[in-house]
Amino acid sequence: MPVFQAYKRVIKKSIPQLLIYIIVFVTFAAILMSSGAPASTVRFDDARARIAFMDEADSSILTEGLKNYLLQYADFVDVKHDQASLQDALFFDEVDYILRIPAGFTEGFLEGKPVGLEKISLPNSVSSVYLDININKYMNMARFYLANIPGIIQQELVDLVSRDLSVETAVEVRPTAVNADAGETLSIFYNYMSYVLLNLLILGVGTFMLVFNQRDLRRRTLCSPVPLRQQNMQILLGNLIYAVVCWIIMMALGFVLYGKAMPAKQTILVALNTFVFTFVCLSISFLIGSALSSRNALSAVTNVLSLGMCFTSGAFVPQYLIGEQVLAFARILPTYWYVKYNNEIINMANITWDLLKPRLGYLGMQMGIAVAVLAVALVIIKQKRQAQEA
Amino acid sequence: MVIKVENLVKRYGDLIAVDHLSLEVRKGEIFGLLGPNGSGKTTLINCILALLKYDKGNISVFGKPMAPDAYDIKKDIGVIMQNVAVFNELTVYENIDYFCGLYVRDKGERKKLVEEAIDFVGLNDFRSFYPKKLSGGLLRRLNIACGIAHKPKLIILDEPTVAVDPQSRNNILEGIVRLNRQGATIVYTSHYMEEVEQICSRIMIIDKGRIIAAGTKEELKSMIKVGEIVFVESVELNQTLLDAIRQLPNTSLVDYKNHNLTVTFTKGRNNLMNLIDLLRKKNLGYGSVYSKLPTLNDVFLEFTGRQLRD
Ligand SMILES: Nc1ncnc2c1ncn2[C@@H]1O[C@H](COP(=O)(O)OP(=O)(O)O)[C@@H](O)[C@H]1O
Ligand SMILES: [Mg+2]
Repeated sequence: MPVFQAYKRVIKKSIPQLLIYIIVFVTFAAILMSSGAPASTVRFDDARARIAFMDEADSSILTEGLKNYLLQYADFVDVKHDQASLQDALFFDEVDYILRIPAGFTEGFLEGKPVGLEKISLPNSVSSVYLDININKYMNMARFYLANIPGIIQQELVDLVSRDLSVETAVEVRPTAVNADAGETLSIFYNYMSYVLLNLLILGVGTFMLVFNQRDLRRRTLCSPVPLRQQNMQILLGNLIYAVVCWIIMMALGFVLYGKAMPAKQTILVALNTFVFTFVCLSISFLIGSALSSRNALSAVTNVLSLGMCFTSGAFVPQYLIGEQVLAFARILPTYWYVKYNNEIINMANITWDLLKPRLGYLGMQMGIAVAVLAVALVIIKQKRQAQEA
Repeated sequence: MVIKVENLVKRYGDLIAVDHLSLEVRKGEIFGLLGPNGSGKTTLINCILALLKYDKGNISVFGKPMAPDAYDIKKDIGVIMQNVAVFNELTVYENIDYFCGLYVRDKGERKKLVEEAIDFVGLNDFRSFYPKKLSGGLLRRLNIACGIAHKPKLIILDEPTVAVDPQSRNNILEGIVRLNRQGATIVYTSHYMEEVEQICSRIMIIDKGRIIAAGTKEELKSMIKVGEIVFVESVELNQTLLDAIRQLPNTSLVDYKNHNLTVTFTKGRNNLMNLIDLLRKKNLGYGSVYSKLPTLNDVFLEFTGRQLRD
């Protein structure tokens, strides 16, 4: 199997480059373990945020309701509503959080349009993160009632949401199997893993495909008596083995570092997710490897793509901190479903079939995306081949 | 017949790269394909190897029609492309092993063949080098080793000596002759007429995708009027004297520049003697005198009105 041999040798030559990602990842995991999850270990209750609340529309019942609800968690600060004053306030630490309600928000929201609140907050501020969660809670709850009670009027909506949220705050349980802090750490670890897997796969598979498909080299191989189909099978074999090896390395890391922290059931389910995601990465790598023709382009695209996908999908920062529009867009990204699955599975107390079933759909989404990407790659390969023979 | 091309036409859009071209390569010969850059040599080779689709014509190799899936033909061909085509990520040894492995499955046999190929091109000291570390000449030798390790019956080399130092070039040309002696049929393309003259038993000159002339080098040279070109350096001539030279028998072209005289004679006897006699009679001093037989460049020049090399 000469092509497969060549694959092995090209990958071997790339190991130092690939190792960088694994080392960074292990370092990251080590830091994570020693310090615990950064946000969740802090007691939120003490951290009241100072918020500048800017309602660009005239206040509505809905936004007033939100404001009242947030009074539990934040102190309202008056700031002049121009850009400069707001920036200053943030800079001089007069406020932690600026929430802007854009004109037409309430109308749009009630009509079920994808409107969003805009926010600016200090990075790494615990109180802001907490505020984010609470604003999200409120708006999601409101969306829930809006969707389920046809013709509901604003006042009813606000009453229902306020009632529910006050009950919930009183109880305040997090239904987690693993302890809450460990759960967060595990999520962070496995979500970050998506970034590492993307890089490993794109760099490994992409590099080989670029090398192998250099025009003159390709032609030379085409002159040989090894049938094209066999060449492709050997490449496929190389790709599959490489992908599985990457997955095993990642799983081994997870097991060594966090094997004790996660129950077996969850471990298996998360491993399954990672496995599916590895194949999504493979398919993306295959596309990139077929579409590009230079190593420089490869590393640029790898960076942009892996960072972009992981950021917008909440692999680095929790999904609840990411703007609604961004998240709405992120739904077409496999990372979004990967992260969502991890977060929900890891924090599930009792995994029953009913709870699991919808999450399996997330795996389905990933596989669907993988197939679509693969189809595009095959079209590109075919076109490139025809162009070369013409 | 090892290769038979009939009436081949290959177009790139409006450009006709190969224009109704036919050729035959016989068993055991070194067939030279000579033509300037862009004359269609590589295109022709790629069509013969079934790497390119063509518009018209028939190509057969070893008596069987050539096609992308004619694997029983391909197994006996060795290809050395115009551009060096090796893996930068693989060592010299691994590269040869890869290409040989496409033809020879058996590990033990392959090891032997790879060693022989390394020996053949003289890369013994460089077997664990990566291609990036090799000089241009050594890289070309590696490129050749990758194409011949499996001992093909037909070896096609497309300009294997471009950008190569004279020592490596000689090494390569000698190697090709040795391969031929060992029984391989060779197709050799080049735009260097000296190389083609040196090693090829039969030569086809092409230009703009068309055949200009074909035959042995003697046959080619007999096709043209030029028999001999005489150079006389540092000689003082005036118009009368130049006219006298033009009156000499067999003179076809007289050129006088910077005190240097070039006279082209058609075939005939005593051309050089006649010229020297004339100069003596007129009591003219002169520097060195030498004469040159026509080259393939003169053949090309006479047929196309252009020099082989731009
Ligand atoms: N892929 C291509 N597309 C368009 N034109 C091409 C292509 N390849 C070669 N040509 C043109 O065809 C002619 C013959 O090229 P080529 O076969 O490479 O000549 P040679 O090998 O003798 O230098 C040239 O004019 C070249 O520009
Ligand atoms: Mg060429």
